[in-house]
Amino acid sequence: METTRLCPQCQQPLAADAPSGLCPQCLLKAAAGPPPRASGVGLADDFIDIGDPAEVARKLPQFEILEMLGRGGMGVVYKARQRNLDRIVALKILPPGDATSSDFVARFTPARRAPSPSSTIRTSLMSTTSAKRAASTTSSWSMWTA
Amino acid sequence: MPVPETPPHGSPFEQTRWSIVIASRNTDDTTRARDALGKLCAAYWYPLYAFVRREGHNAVDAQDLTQEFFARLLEKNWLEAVDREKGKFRSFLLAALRHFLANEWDRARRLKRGGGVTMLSLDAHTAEERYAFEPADSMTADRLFERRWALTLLEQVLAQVRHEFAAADREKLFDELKGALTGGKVPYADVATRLNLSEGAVRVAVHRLRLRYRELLRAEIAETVASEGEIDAEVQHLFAALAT
Repeated sequence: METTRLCPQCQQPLAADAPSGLCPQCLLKAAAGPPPRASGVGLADDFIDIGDPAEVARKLPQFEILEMLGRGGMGVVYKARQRNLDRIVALKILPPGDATSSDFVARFTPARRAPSPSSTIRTSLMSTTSAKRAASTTSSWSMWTA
Repeated sequence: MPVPETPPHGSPFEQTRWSIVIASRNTDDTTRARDALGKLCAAYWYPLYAFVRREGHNAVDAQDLTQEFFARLLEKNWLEAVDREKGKFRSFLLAALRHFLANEWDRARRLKRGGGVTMLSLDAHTAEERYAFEPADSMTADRLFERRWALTLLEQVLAQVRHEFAAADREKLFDELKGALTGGKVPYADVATRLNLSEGAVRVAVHRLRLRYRELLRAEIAETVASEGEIDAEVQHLFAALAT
């Protein structure tokens, strides 16, 4: 017993006995191919909204998120306190597409050199750590001392 | 996401139901294999029922026959049958049923059943209600079996995902998001408003739902094949079974 309802994705007729009203062929597609990646702004493995200070704070407990300084195509910048050194920093969080791209580190490097020379070494150490972490979690952030 | 239980020996795949049954051919301990086979049969009885009906048996006969087939399979004949028909559970089950129909059914229905027979719980009423919705008679019994098998598998997985959401008291969220499982666009803002969540939280939920569903889907397919290398071939077979 077929109905004239169509699957909104593949446009094939949707059978009356479609599981939970969903197109079985499209349901099965999930089993083929690679696992889904996150879309939009966030982390692929542990998807967060980088524009949400509460989620960022949960993901990066080593920082106290104080306020958002700005956001744009390259990510979001927060004013934060680095807890272990008790200092105010600017925290830039990149969208996941940047974190997973092959030239990620190359693009990351100029950003970490942005602050004054005296703070570059400390910031570089932190940035390198985060870059390594980013390779496995696809999250990414960089930091400048204030 | 829960970490799969690590088996004492070998790869995790050795713990899937059909591979347990296959492996039991070489051991004396068949309790686990019998249990695994019973669970598989309980999950996939309806495609066989539909096959038997489409072969021309009436509803009453089909119910008796399916019951009897499973009872015998689980009682004594199953190990020999596995030996005869190595490979996928789906192929094994259909081959064993054909054998039963050709050689044993006429004799079996003339004999009174003995005591202590293991009966699989089949809901006869539900079976016939479901059969009424099957596609028109132009589909052969084999095609119907294959199609119904694929649909049963997807239903199992969706039920499992829904159960997990229900356990976390989030059934409404599943109902709002399930369209994402077929690649549909989710109106994040609308769903967020309806369920009093942040849009970010809805995005998180969609992504996790897709990952979890895929994981469970491949795991369910793995339950019915003998080795990990057969999963992708089985996926292709299921696609073919669903093609109209």
